[in-house]
Amino acid sequence: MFRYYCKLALNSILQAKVHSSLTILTVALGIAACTIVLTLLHSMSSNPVAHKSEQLFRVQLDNWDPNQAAVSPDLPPEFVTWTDAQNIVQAKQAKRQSASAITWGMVNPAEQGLTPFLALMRVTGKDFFPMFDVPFLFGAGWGETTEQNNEYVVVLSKEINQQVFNGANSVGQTLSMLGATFTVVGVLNDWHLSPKFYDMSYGAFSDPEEIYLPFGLKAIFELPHGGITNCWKPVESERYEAFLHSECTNFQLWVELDEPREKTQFNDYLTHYVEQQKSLGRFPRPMNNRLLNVNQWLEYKQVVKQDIQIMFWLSVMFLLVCLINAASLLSAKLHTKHSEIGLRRALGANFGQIIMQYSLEVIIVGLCGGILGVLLAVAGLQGVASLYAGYGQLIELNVSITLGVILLAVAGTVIAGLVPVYSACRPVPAMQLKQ
Amino acid sequence: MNILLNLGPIFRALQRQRFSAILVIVQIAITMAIITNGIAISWDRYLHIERSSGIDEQNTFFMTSSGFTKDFNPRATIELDLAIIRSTDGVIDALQTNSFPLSDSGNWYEIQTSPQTDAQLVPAASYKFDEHGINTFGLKLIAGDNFNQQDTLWLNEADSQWPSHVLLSKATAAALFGANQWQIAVGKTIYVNQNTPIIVRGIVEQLHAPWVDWPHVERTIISPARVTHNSARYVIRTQPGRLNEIMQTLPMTLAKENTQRVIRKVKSIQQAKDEIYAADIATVSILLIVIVVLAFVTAMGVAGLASFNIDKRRQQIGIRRALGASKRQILQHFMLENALLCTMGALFGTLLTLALNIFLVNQYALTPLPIYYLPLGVVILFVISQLAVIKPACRAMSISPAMATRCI
Repeated sequence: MFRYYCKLALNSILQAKVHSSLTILTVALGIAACTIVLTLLHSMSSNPVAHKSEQLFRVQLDNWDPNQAAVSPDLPPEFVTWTDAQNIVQAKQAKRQSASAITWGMVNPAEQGLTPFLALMRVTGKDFFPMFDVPFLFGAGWGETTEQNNEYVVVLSKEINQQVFNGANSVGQTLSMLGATFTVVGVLNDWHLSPKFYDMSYGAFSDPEEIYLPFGLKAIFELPHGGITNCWKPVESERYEAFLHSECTNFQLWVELDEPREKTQFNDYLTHYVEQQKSLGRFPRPMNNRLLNVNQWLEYKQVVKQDIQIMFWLSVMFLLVCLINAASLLSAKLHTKHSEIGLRRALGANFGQIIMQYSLEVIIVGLCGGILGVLLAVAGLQGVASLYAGYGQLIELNVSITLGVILLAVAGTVIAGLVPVYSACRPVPAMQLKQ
Repeated sequence: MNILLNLGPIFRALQRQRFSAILVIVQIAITMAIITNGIAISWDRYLHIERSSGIDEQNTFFMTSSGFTKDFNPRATIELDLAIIRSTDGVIDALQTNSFPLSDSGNWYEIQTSPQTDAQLVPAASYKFDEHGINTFGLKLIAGDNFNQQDTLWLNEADSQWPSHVLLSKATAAALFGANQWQIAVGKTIYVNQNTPIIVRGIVEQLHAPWVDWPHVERTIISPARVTHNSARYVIRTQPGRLNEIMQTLPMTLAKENTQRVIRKVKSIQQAKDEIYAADIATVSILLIVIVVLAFVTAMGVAGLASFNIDKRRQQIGIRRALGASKRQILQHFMLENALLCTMGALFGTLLTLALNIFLVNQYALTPLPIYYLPLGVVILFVISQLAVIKPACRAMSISPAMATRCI
């Protein structure tokens, strides 16, 4: 019986080809729009370290101008000063802690026979790699003593290792850069967090740095201040150290705390630290420390572009229009079938069977619309990805979103189609036979 | 009059198929809400992207020269480079600068008209370039004078010294001295870093800050200084039509002339602009596609519904024709039926448009919809649905009166 209904439904769909393809196309367009926007929303709001987002905390301290908050109305600056970064990392009050900043410098791989180039670098602490689960292809990060002795070591990105060492295991090799000789201790595997939550100063979807070196080397090589630097009072002198000892903020400070108890303890430590600094004449503002976990930090930084959220609402309404359109087309079609329905009822089909038969037709239309919609979405996403090319992020179709939207399409079409099916099936058979 | 008399029967006919009529009305209403708000957002964004940054965006490009050897001489390199660039055929002028509009990197200072601590602070982005700036950027000097060669102050990287004279953008002068009194700024002393006095030499019509989304993007202060750095940024303006060619050859010439540095980041201002506004351009493109597709979907819906209605009423149409209705009257009937649905849709749609706009304004701090967008939306929807109904209505028009004789 079911196969017979399927055959009837297919017949009916094929009979009115233009009408059916219009209905399917309508549903497909709605589905495509929704899938595209949901995919965009998903890839922008995804949390790249979801399993650790409750353990990683961004540290913010308020060393700002007594008369004016760093971020209105009364929020602390987003970065910390060199002084605070050094003090807090060295105090080791959290499970792991790392301060880092973007910088750049010339790499001169003359030994490898290559022309010099300028590379983006990150000065950071040894904990950076285990904290953010940075994957290594060769070697590993540097150790405690290396860091304390300010040894000249580097970790290279996979791309730079490819470029300079042809992708070979370069651990132990030397590389001349910044006018000195560095030893390679590790090479990263592909690592591109999106959003790049640990440092979004060049944009939430910017590329990771190419070379990583110990934090202390920034002062030794007097490396430039990349990222964003904010100062609330002029730096006292023109010497490089004056900047490091100033109240200028430039450093990204993160800590890892596993238990809520550890968080409380760390908070107490921060309070204690700021009080101590206050007694030294710093921190003129009231106590205003902030510890945001990854999710809170992403929310605070408004990583998901507002435009995408607006488009989300518009695409939901778009889908609604498409479903209404499909419903009105289906209802118009069923209106022309009153006599057929009357005939089938008169020949003994009951109400439920008629509903079943026409619902099948609607479900087939919805499914076809859903599948075509996904195909349209795949094509549309290519176009959208090229529009957002500057973001350097991956926009890929997500299986659960796709299945969810197809399900939604079928459900929406069925609900939209059932009302006309119901009203078409209801009338008394005799009246319709008469026509 | 005749037309209005027809409204009664049309209305009653619609009442007999309430469900499909309501669907069309709701569809038209939602379509209007999306299209109207979509057009408003994209127009707003388009104006944002297309606004002038004050410089000749079409014929300008930039590049960075980075020295890497120990005995690299930044100052000598900059002087020689500029001499070469400026004498290149097809180059109008060139300069070395710390930053430029649309570059997205730079710094800003707070300026005040008196050294007191309670004076009003005016944030302004700082540019450091010499007297060639007016010509290279194509700026319009509207008051006072340009710098001259002797004004240029050579600074090293960490040097925070200020020259004795600066130029201001008109918006900066207006923020300091009042909107209508920007002219008086010329010759006045202003203060940077609270107490460093500087005299205003001249005012330029417009020059944007490096960051397009900065709330004070119109405010800039130009000082005749050159910062020597291992890296130097050059901005080059070419004669119209020669940009691409010079962008190719010039970096090679410079790279050959001094091998102690690399030339990188060669890009036109237009490319930089496209990158900076990538998200906005994406939003506008996506919204426009949505608007067009939605108009198409709704038109198809309206046409589909009308054509099924006509098929259902072939006999009635035939009877009306047989009873003396002209082809025009049949056409009119369906156009009018559609107009009636559209009017109801537009009424409901106006409310929905406003509701959606209020939601978006509250949620995402968009600018409220200008009121004239509502009639615009109504007109667009009318045009779409009337166009959609023409073809089926023409088909109805051509139904023969003989149809009336069948199946009576």
